[in-house]
Amino acid sequence: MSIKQTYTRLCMQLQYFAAATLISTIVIGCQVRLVPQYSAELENQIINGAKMTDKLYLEMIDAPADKKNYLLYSEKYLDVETEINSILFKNEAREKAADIIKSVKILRDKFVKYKRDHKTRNSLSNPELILYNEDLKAFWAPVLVEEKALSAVKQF
Amino acid sequence: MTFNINEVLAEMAGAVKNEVKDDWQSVKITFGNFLQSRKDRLNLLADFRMQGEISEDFFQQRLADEKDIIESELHAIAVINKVAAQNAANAAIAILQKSVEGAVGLI
Repeated sequence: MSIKQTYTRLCMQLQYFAAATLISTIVIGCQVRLVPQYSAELENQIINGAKMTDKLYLEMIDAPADKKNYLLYSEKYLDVETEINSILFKNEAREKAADIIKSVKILRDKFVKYKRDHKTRNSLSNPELILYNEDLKAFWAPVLVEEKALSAVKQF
Repeated sequence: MTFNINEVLAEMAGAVKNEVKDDWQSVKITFGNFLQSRKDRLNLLADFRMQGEISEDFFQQRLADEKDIIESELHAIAVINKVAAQNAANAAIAILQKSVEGAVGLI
């Protein structure tokens, strides 16, 4: 094989390699991203927040009528609210988390609304507490479903 | 190795179909769970109202909040759908990438 032939073959191989690298780069760069990355830490925090909310309401339901005053539970209300705010804050720092942020904001607004009702009226009846707890469980559920759904993102 | 665009497109379509099929099951299960919990919640709410244990105003407030629960659930369904769309699109892109790399002899 002459030097010219070797040089031509080498040039062709280089062209193929360059083309392949370019196409791969373009295709890899085209990976579609519609949702944030899954976070096991956030999933645990959501489970913990839902548990704290349930525990707070179950405690109030279990308490006798004269021990359902808002002030007795104000600190625990704050603990849950802080946990929800922390989940919201972490999601606001993530890209592509608009849907999740909306769900967490709805949850926070409702939690605060129910807390204010308790504060304004000082005491709530058991049926009211039970219904508030059921509603809050329903507001927590989509937040957990959203984070769990992210774990189904596949790497290709 | 040759590059047959029709074969590649067919493979890409197959990959999209498979991904959507898997994730559609997830949407169905989630939707069913939301529906069941709504049924239980509304039963409880109606019982308390009929027994006179909650006021009409409290009852109406709960019904109004039910709309916000639905909104939040729809956001969750949207996230599941986005995960499905992302998986489907990236599966298709991976097939295209593999085919192109195969055709130019990189793999």
